[in-house]
Amino acid sequence: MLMVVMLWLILAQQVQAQDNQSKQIDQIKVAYMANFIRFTQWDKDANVKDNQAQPWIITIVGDSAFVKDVSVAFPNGKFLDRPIVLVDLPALRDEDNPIDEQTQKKLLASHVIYLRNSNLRDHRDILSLSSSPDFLYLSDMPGMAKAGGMIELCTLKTRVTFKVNAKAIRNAKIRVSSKVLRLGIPVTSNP
Amino acid sequence: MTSPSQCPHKPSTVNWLRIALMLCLGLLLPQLLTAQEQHENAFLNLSIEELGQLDVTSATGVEEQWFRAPAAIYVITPEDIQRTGHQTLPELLRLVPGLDVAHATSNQWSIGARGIKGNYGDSLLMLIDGRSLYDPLLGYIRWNTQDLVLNDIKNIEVIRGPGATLWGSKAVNGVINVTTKSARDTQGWYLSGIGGNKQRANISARYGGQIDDNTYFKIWTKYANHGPSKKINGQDHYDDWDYYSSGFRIDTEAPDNLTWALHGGFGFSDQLGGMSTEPAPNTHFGVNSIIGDNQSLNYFLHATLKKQVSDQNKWNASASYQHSTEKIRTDLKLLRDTFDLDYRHRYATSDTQLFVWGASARMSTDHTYQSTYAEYIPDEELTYNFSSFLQSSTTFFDDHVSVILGSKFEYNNYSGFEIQPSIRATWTPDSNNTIWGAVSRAVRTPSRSSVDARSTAFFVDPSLLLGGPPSGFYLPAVIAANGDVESEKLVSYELGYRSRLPGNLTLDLATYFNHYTDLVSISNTFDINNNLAGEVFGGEINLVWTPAPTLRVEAGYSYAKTSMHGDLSDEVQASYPENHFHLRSYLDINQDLECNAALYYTGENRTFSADPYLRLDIGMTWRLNANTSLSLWGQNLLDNQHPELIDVFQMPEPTEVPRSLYLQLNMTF
Repeated sequence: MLMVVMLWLILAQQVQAQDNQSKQIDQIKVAYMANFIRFTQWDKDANVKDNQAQPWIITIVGDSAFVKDVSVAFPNGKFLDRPIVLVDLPALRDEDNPIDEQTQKKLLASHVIYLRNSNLRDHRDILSLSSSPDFLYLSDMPGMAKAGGMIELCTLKTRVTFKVNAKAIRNAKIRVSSKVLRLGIPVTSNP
Repeated sequence: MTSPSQCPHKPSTVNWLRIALMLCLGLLLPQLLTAQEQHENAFLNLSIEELGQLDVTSATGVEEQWFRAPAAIYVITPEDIQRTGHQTLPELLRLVPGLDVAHATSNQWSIGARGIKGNYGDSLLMLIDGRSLYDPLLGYIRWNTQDLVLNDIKNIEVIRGPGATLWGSKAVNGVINVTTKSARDTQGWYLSGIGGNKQRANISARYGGQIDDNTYFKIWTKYANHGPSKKINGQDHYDDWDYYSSGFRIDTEAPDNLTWALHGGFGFSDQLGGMSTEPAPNTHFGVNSIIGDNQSLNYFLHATLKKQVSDQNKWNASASYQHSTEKIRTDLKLLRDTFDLDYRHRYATSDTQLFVWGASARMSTDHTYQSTYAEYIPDEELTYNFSSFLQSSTTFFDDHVSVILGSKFEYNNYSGFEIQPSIRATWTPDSNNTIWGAVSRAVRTPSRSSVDARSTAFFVDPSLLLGGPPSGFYLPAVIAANGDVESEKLVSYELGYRSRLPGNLTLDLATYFNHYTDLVSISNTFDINNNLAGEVFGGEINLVWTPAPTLRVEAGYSYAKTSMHGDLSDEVQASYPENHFHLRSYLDINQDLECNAALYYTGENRTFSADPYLRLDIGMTWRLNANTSLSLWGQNLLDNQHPELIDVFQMPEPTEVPRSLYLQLNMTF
């Protein structure tokens, strides 16, 4: 019986180890997001204001569980002395219906949009919001940067890294530090 | 007789309660731990570069290699490579606190670590993608026969201090581990061109493409023409050189987490410099120096195979073949073929216990053609080295304490059986502090040069002793290996501390005490022997400050005090500058313009009377568009020229490093 219990404990630990690993990967992605915000400036003519009085508005599309990961990551709910407002959008729209005005407003008011566990339709909807967006658009969905997104977080072998679509960033009303552009894996949009 | 309550097959109520409690703990404990972890993100204060270094590999989840490593590690990142203006691998090593890099001639560097600097890097091991560049014939790294497209480098990890348990008998004072980007990460075109007064031309081209869904390739070529150093009077010296190299890499991600890569390439360098030694007419004593032409051809093939069986179980194997032909000075010719096999297996038996073990073999055959004044006896030789290692890593107290214990076991044809054990430990009280310590033993096994070489240092006319005029008859003073040189030995004690301080400041401190015995030396009668021993103590401190997203400042200082006794002790003591200091800054003026600067101070090299020097490099980079950048660099700006190492054996006249300017254009598409 003791053997069974020990096996059970070992199994539980191994399952937990895998779970911890994916949790830690998500924590690294949140840390990357914090760095990207740190290295981004929003243009003065952008709808989204980049001043100390404004909170950071981060919209997570497609994964409510990740909203929780982000919310607990920042001590006191603040980053760079500014409060963080998290917007949880599990889906952008119902099947066959256009994206509603309220959702559009939420998206356009965001400093950061993070697309996760979602689909190509949501991605296209976000791209179609503006040809010169005010937000930093991140995702960890494979192929997102090549499909017109700005920064794609990815796991490459044993490390979490990111791909950068410099053209998409330059089209936006934001200025991302050349450091981010240089450290990321450059990709270009599909024609 | 056993009562029912004592029957092992029928647990009592109390035992059932115990089992139930254990089951609950088994289920709940991890949840409790996770719940605790959910309230903090240990990675939030890490920089992008640090996040990119995290390995999601071990059974314990994420392993932060640099900050928690129980060794003095410094990582040169692609950003450092791009923002410091150095264009060769040895020059890039100036960034590492605790390494002494001296430009001896335009095509020769002398690089040492921790108070010991011998012949051009003979106590350091350098690897590119796991392929050892240590020359078993000459016994050091030939820095001028290694070149890469610098944009291809993923990182350069430099371990100061012994790394022998994992890397073997050449990793005495440090390991330089260069990792290049995979073909998958270097898709499309990359072009780079440099023109300047010292870097006369430096042109690189690389193209990466895809063969199928899982297979990527890249090919590259590079040509560099380096101008000469200066004589004391400001005239050009005779040591300019060219290097041409090309290569390829194929990466495949096969099913079942199996990946393999095949690398290949060749390089050819043609260097002026190198001195032939001949009797000087009408003198009693001396040499007549003749500048020679050195040529080097090398090519290699290197295959790696990696398999991730599970998160806890992974292995990798590699095989490589390298050839080099060296034509040194006027007529000494050395041919060498080296075969390497290596296998490493990493297996975690639990969340807290990790084993790494491996085995490797190196066989090298050479053929030497003797010159008038230098030869190897015998002229052909097969050298070999077989080794295995085992290392155990155990963590305690919820990963706060880690102990790594291991040893390398090695057999070679010169010194026989060698053991190189080490014990390392870290204490990480929280995510912002790490204290580490290590005790390790390393050996440098003899090279063929220290066992079989004979060379003429200078000539003496016997009439000098009689007081008469030069007779025209000369006796050579020959430095001769006597064939029974032993391994050099080191026992090293290290203690280090890392901290993330408030205000975006990172501190890295390492101290050491090294005790060397049986160092190879040359006696008064010109025999090569092991009559040198001594101690080195010192420390290195490095601070990185990021006061704003657009500014990064790094400052480092190192001190090394060498105390030797035995043959050549004064020379060895004096050859390593005691003090080094550097200050670097990376500034983004705006999104498209950056300004980078670096100041390096190196103390006096007393052996060759090279004064302390201060070197200032400043560079500006404009990003013309998403794919193109233009850089202007000035190096050694504080003086017209300065000596870094005066090597009387390489050049008849002292060489000095000149101020240099260059323009660089980079394009990707």
